[in-house]
Formats: sequence, C-alpha cells, structure tokens
Amino acid sequence: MSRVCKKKSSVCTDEPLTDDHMCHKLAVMRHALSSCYGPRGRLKQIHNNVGGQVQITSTSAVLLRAMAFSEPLIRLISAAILDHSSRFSDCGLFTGVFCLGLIEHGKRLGLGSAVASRVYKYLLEECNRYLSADDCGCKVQVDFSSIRSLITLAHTAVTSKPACMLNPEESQHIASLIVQAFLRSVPSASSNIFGRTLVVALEGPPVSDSAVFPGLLVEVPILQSVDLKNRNPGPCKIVLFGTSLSGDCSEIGEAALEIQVGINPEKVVLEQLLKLGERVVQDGVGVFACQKVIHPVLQQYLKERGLVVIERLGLALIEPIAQMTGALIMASICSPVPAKAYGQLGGLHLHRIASKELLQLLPSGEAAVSTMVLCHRNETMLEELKVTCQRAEHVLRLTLKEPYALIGGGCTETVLSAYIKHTSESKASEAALSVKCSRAEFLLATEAFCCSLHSVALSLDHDDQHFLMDLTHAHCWVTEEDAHSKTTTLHPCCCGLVKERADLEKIFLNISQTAHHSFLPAPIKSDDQPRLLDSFTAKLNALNVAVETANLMLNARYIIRDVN
Amino acid sequence: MAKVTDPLQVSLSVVGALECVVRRCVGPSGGTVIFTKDTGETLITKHGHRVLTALHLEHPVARTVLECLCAHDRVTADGSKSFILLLAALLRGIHDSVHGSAHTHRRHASWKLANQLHAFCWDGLDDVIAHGVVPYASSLFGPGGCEPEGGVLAALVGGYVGGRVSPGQAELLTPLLCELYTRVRHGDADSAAISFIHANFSQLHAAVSGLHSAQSRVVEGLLLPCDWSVWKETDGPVKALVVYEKLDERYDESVSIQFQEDWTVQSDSVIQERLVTILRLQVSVMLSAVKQPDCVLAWAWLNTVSVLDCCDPGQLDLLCELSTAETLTVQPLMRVGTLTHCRRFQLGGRRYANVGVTHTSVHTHTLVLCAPAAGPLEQSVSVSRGVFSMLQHLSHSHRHNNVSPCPHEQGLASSQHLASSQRLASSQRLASSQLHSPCPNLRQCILNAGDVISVGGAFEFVFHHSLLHSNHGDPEIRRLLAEAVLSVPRSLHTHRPGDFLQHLVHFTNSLRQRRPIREHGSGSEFMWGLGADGSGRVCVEPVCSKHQLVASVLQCVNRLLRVETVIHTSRSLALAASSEPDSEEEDDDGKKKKKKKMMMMMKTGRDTM
Repeated sequence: MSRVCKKKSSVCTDEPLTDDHMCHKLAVMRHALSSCYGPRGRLKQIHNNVGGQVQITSTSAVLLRAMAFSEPLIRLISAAILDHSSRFSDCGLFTGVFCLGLIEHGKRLGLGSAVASRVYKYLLEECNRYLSADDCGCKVQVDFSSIRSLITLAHTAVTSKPACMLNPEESQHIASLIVQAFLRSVPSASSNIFGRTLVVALEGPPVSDSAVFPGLLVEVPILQSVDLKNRNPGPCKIVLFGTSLSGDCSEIGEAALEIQVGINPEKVVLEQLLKLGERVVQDGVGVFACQKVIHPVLQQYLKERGLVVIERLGLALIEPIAQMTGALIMASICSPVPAKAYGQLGGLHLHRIASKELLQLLPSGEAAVSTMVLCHRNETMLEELKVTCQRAEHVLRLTLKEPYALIGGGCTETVLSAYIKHTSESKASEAALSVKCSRAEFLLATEAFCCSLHSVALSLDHDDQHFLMDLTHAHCWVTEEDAHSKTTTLHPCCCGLVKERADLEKIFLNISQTAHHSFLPAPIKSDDQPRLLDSFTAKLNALNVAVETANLMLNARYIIRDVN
Repeated sequence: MAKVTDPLQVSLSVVGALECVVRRCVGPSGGTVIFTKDTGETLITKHGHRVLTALHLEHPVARTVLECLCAHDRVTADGSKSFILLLAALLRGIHDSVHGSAHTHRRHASWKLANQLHAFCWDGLDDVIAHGVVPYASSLFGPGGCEPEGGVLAALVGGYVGGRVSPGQAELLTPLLCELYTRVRHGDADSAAISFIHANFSQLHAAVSGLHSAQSRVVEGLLLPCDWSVWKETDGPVKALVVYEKLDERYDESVSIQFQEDWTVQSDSVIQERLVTILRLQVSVMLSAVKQPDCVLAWAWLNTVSVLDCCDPGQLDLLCELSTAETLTVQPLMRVGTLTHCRRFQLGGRRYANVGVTHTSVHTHTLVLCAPAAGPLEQSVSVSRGVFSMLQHLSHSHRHNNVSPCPHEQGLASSQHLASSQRLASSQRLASSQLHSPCPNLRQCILNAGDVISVGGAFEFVFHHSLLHSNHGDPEIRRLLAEAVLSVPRSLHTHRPGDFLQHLVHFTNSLRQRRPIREHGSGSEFMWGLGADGSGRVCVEPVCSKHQLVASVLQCVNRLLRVETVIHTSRSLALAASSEPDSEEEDDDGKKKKKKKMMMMMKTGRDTM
C-alpha cells in the first residue's frame, strides 16, 4: 500500500499578468525569442553543466525543447510554439514573438484583458479574411511550372538560420538541393504515396560536397567494397529480413523448444540458415539485406556466390528499402521466402564520400525515395543544417496543399498591419459595437495589434539598422547608417518587390507613435519576383495560434499550482 | 476539538474567500484559471467545481461547502460558481439581519433564520418557481416530442459553453457541437443520439494539438488515432475483422520449435491455421487492439488485407457494437463486421485511420477538436463532454416525466427559434392541474419539465420578483432570499455595474407590462432580448438546474450554521463507525504521515439549544 500523505493546499496566484515579476519573465522570454529571429539572429549555445554535446542554434523548436520552464504561462507559450512547429516546421519564432508582443503592447496601452482578447479575435478574423482573399498584397502564387519560387522559399528558409554558418554560394547550393530532394519525393501520377528523403550527415568535407542521390545510401565497411566494385551494375532482386540471422537460439524469443537428444541446436539453426541462403541463391537474388546481424558463415556462403550482403541496416533504413523495392520484410527463418516477397532494385553504385564508402541502392520503378548527403565542417553546424533542411523540405511540401507563399523580410507584417489599421479605422464604430467595447478601446487594441506585427518585423534588426515603412505599398525598408561617410545607404525593399522611387514617402517603424494617416496598401504593378518568401500555410497557422495563445493568457485570472 | 464560537462569522469569512476566487471566473467575460502540477501538467479551466476541488481546501467549513457543492454538481453538472455566489450573499444577508441583536442572541437568531430558510425550501420554493418563473420559460422540447429543437439546442449549448470557455472558443464550439448532434441524429426523432454521444464521447472525439482551434470539425465515421500498418486501397463496404489479442498467442504448453536432425520445425501451425480461417472469411481489413507480430503483417501484405494495429479497445468495441459484428467461435476472440469505408486521414501532419459504420438510428461522426497546446485542448474536450452529459441529464429526466399525454397543442412551431410561439406542453399541464387541485408532485414537475430560460440573470430577476410578490411563508425570509439571488447577475456585470442596473430596470418593466402572461398564444413568446453578453445571440439554461441550485444553497446554509463543534480525528470516519482500530500504527502518534486529519461535524438540533 502506498503511503497516505496529507495533501498540501495548492498555491494560488491571482491576476498573473499584473505581476511585475511575471512581466519581467515574459520580457526575457520575448527577448530570447526575438534575438534569434531572422538571418542576422543571434545564436544560442545550449549545453549542460556535466559536459556532453554542445548545441548552437537559433531554431525555436531546438531551443525550446532544450529549455525547462517553471512558469506555467511561459510553459503554455512554449508548448504552443513546439506543437505548431512540429506540425508546420516554420514560423515558430514568429508565433512566440507575436504572441508575447500582443500581451506586452496590450498591457502598455492599458487595455482591459477581456476587451483586448475580444478585439484581437476580431482582428485575427480580419487578417484571415485578407490573407485568404485573392487580391491580398502580401501573397504570391507558387508557380510549379518553374522552380524559381520553390528555390526562393528554400533559400529563405536556409538563410534565416544563421547557425548553419553558410556563405551565400553554399546556401544557394543547399537551397537547390532541398528543391531537388523535394521534387524527387513528389509521387508520380500512378502512385499517390508521398516519397521520402533520408538524410545522411557527414562531418568534415566542405558544404559544396553535399548532394542528393536517387534511391538509398547504405554505409558499407571498406573491406567489403573491393568485391562490390567488380559487380555488374544492372537491375537485381533483393530480399529483406527483419529478424536476426545470427543463428543464436536466444534470439528466437519466447517459445517452447523441443530438442532431440544428441542434436546441437546451434548447428541445426545454422543449417537452416544455409538452406535459406541456398534457396535465395537459387531464386537469383542479387542483394541480401538484414536489419540485424547475419551469421558469418551465411555471409561467406552468400558472398562466394556473388551476392551483396548488407547487415545491421537498422529500422530507420529497412522500411524505406521495403518501400522503394516493394519487398516484404521477412519475419521468420523457418519458412521459405515466397516469390512475391522479393523486391526489385534498379542497380547498385558505390560512392566514396570523404572517408566513407556508401552503397547506393537505385530504385527500379518510380519509387520516390532519395537520399540527401549533407556535409559540413563540424558537428554542431551539421546538426543545425540537418534540421534546417528537413524543415525547409517540409515547408515546400506544404505548398502542395496551398500553392501560395508570403513575401518575407518583414514586408508581410507591415502590409498586414497597414491593412488592419486602415480597415479598422474606417469601420471602427460598427466593429466596436460588435465586440462590445468603446470606439477608443477598439482603436487602442488595434494599435497594440499593429505594434505587435511591427515588433515582429523589427525583430529582424540586430545591428542598429533602421527599419522603415513606405506609405504607398506599406513594404518594409532597411537603412544602414554608415559611420564613416555619415550618409545612409538605402537598400531596396526587404522582399525585393518594390524598387526605390523618389515619390515613396517613408516613416520609421521603431518610433511607434509616428503620426501618419492610415492607408490601404497599394497593389504593386511589377513583374519582379520577390527575393524572400515564407510559407503561407505555416504563417497563417502561426498567426492564429499566437492570437489564440495570447487570448488564453489574457483570460487567465488565477494560476493554481498543486504542490503535492 | 474546536468550539465554533460564531458559526456565522466563520462561514462568512470562508465563503467570502471562496467567492473572491470564483467571482472573477463568472460568466462569459470572466477569466480562466490555469491549474498546474509540479509534474508539468497544465489544465486550463473556468469550471467552478474543478477550480474549487483543485485548491485542496483544508478549512473544515470550506470542506463542508465543497461537499455540498459536489453533491449539487453531481445532480446538475452546472452552477457551481453561482452556488458559491448565492451562498455568500445569503450568509451576508443573514449576518446583516441578525446584526442588531445582542451577541448572545445572535447565534440563536441566525439558527432560526437558517431553519426558516430550510423550511421555505421544502414548502414555498417549488410553488414560487412553478407559478412565478415557469410561465416565463420556454420549453426545450418541441410539442409532444422528446427531442430538443434545433435553435433551442444551440441556445442551450451556447449557454453552457459560454460559462466555461472564453467567448471566442464558445463561438467555435457551439455550432460544432450542434453539428455533431444533428449529424449523428440524422433526422431521427428520438433521444438515442444524445445518449449515444454521451456514452461514447471518449471514442467519438479526436484531440489534435498544434493547430488553431478554428480547424476543429466534424468528420464522418470513426477516427482511430493510429496509422495503417499494412494499407491496401479499398472501395465501398468491406468486411472487417476485429481481434483483441496477438494471433500467435498460445493457450497450451505446446511445443513451438522442434530441433530435428534435418530441418527445424517451427510449429506455427497454430497461427497458420488461424490465418487460414481468417482468409476463408474473406475479410479485407483487420483491426487489432494489440501490435501483431511481423509474420501476421507479412501474411496480410501477401493477401491484400489492410491491418490497423494498436487501436483503442474501446473504439473497437464501439465499432463492433455499431456494425453488429458477429463473434466467431474460435480462440482467440475475433469478431467480423462490415465497414462502409476505410480511409487514410491526414490531420495536421499525422496520419489517422478513418472507418465508417452504418447503424439504423445513429450516424457515427467524430468530433475533431484542435487547440494550440495540450492545456486548452483538454479544456475544449471536457467542455464538450460536459455539454452532452448535461443534455443527457435533461432529456433523460424529461422522458421519464413525459408519460402523461399532453393536453393540446396549439400555435404550432412556426420557426425553429425559441422566440416562436411554441406552446409549453409541460407548463400547460402544470397550469391546468393547479387550477383544480394542488399538484402532488409539483417539485417533480418543475424538475423534469425541461423548461429553459435565457441566461444572464433572467431567472434571478423573475425569481426575485415573484419572491417579493408571493404569499408563501415568512416575508422576511422571502426578502432575504430575493436580495441574495440578485448577487449572481450582479457579479456577471462586475466590470460594468451600470449594465446590471439597466438590465434590472428592463426586466422589471417588462414584467410589469406583461402581467397576464399566461394568455394563450402569448405565453412563451415573452423573450428576454438581452443575453448575458448583450449580443444578439440567445443562450438559455434549464430552469430545473436553477431550482436545484437554490434548494442546494438553502440546505448548505442550514448545514453550515448548525455546526457547534469541530472535532479533528485521526481516524477515517467510515472506520470509526464500524470497527475497532486493528493495527498499532494507527494509534502511533509518531507516524504523522499516516495520520489523516478528519473532521467531524456535530450537528445539534434546534431543540437542544
């Protein structure tokens, strides 16, 4: 019987958001997230105090997973960000910065939490309507007939992670690899199972050695590779085993054994294995692969007859192989392999990358399986690069569902805020009535919402740059103050859609109270392609999740902590 | 042993503290409580009962209140926050009325009041509600039927949901829950759908975190939260096999592997036999509650059978029940049924299996609830579950009562809205019986009539009004109760006290204007224009649970004020009553951890004073 303890009373905190201590914690969290944002984001190094691996990252999912929070509200935000990025792989930092911005700006402007959450909800619906409309100024159609927008999407995803430590050529190369891998994984019309991309990470060689291979790459010991070179590189049959072929009786699992007197069970099992091998050889199989260990005698037997033997594949590889070749993973050594269980391989190739020998298994049909080999100079960068590539590929996949992308570089945020400001000012009275608050409260909450959007765009700034917004198209511009010549150089608009013109009037973004008339962002008439693109699906969900989480936190009146 | 010197003072301070906690969460504009454990679990709730139990209260009076609250909650599953508010207001009223008397008389005076209140609860309350409130209520159930009407249903669900989640979530959840109900019911007019959803809610919902809540929807068929281990595309109705055990499970000590001279024989004849049997059944889908061994998967792959393993046994049972699956007479237990469709279902980056079943009366649908993180998700799930238990409670009691035929129906439901001129079948019956003889089970009638009244203080205003104008019992008692009742709508408008007064004036005016309310054709047309949130959306709540609320509070007041002594004991109360202490460690004072502080309430009757 377990001990019966007296339950302690719970600890109750009321009005958590009015507490200064709590606000400070939220501000710290906001700073931690916003400093990671964008291509010039600051990196975070994660390590524990007992040694072990060091991680350097600016990816929200990696960062938050490594951190433990004691404060329930922060834990709530962190859970929302992690859940969002596990589904959409992008815009995790956006979620966090925007959500905390909504709370902070609402508080700064002295809004009641109930009013703020109702207006935020209303404005969110307004945003959703605008972003899903056809004439939305910050949305571009992803054109699948050319790979230009796909490359841009991938490139934006790669460059926004500075911890990958890539130079411009390298990031261009990686972006093209991601697109290549994505295109290979798109299933052909006949089969509708989406393909997969496996990542092999190699430490040491330069990034430019990274490549995408069709089919799968399996690491093989160097010694074996000698006989592999002499092989005929044509199509062949493959057989897959999921159980151990080591010949140990202990590997059989739970079963009642009956052993006749005078029989050595190990020997019998080995004979059985050899019989299996004999059968496989008779059937003309070229590759014999096993997830676990293969008995050396069987290996030798098979090799002598010209078969390629691959052992210790692991679960992570055996399933893609089965998918690619159409083979059945055999689970028993007692029954002979049925003819239907053999898979087809298009061929074998041996690659030598860095110090490793990799055997490439080529698909015979249209199976959309490919392998991306990523190389980088050291382990921490490689880890970040791997995460980034997987996420970027996921972002590309999301475009298949909704073929849109949003302009990047903060322009989406400024355009959206200008639109929201304009529409809510033009129909403030009706809107205020529908959310049951006064007109002034509604306008204040709108201000807080727009400021939060601006603060996301401003999070891109880490080097004392000045962020501007033009008053025609509401795009975002950056100036960098040149300390030597005392002049300011003006770059083109962040996303590259708008070119510098003399008649563009601009205001500073970071001076929040700049008085300007609200205006409807003018549509852009140019054939230019944006330089930076973000995932539409991910950002839309991020926006919704952020507002919803902010509302949850604003609504919290008590925190009750069970200390038992 | 602690002597309670002034029970009224003690109760007032304790209940006052609880009121402070509850007050901020009342109504649609009230906030939520985030409840966390050191294990990292987070629960977000506005549910009064949950909040108060989560506090782990220690004070004996607080625990008595909580006990009463739990008892009330079990009956109505609603109104915990109003309970505390009303209790606090009543105690305050009693305190004010005995304030003038000398200290020694104060206790006696408060006991007397408590007793009178309790007495009123038994004889006056039913009558006041039946005559004063019920005429202003609308019937939840259509004339003669046992089924909630569409618009009223939405209003009822909206009223329930609005008090438990934030307004934004309520707007999403209400239509979704109504959609689930109407789609499951599919036009049939009995209350099987409510009971079905209520009984199987855990199987009929899927919770997805990471998506924003607007992505929630209703999906046809059952959604199983696992992916197909072996997937073969199928079309149309398919035969499905449900297994609960591993197919290679053995029941005897038979030999499985024989090592012989020439060939090892694995006696998998058992499993082969079973697989052959299955094949003969011509099933194309296998649903398993456990992970099947690889050889079964390989067999399925070769024989184009789709396999879904690690399913929730509860969902499998439901599936069998719905498809009236026949049980095979072989070991292990297997059942064969028919599925209308089998699909893969993609939901937020994860794969689910979607299967459809047909049943004569219910059309199975699954409610997919989405939220950004696990905490808010849990909130939506529990609220949705609560809605159906509330509906179940209502329709159940209505059905039981509705044995006598309705006298006559007139003014047929022209529109689905409750503003339409539905006649109140039940309240009419009430009216006619009152004319001839005092209804023997008036209380039963109120409790079971299924009448609803709009939220936001309508009940309290009408009740207040009719208490003041009734002629039952002591006028002092009625005044006391009438004043206290107003505390509930008052705290709904704490952020804007002006609104409360405005509503009060509005209601009193309309009450005065429409005095002969029971006129034919106009009765239930009386609609309270303003909901609690002042929006055009109408939300309603059942009168019977409000009645129960008042009765529970009156009983609780009585109970609190009659305590004279609190005794702390180290024994469990149940043990103390039945048997002697059987082990030494119970008496050992050193083992503090085993010691449970228990309180014993000594109830002293009025005559002992």
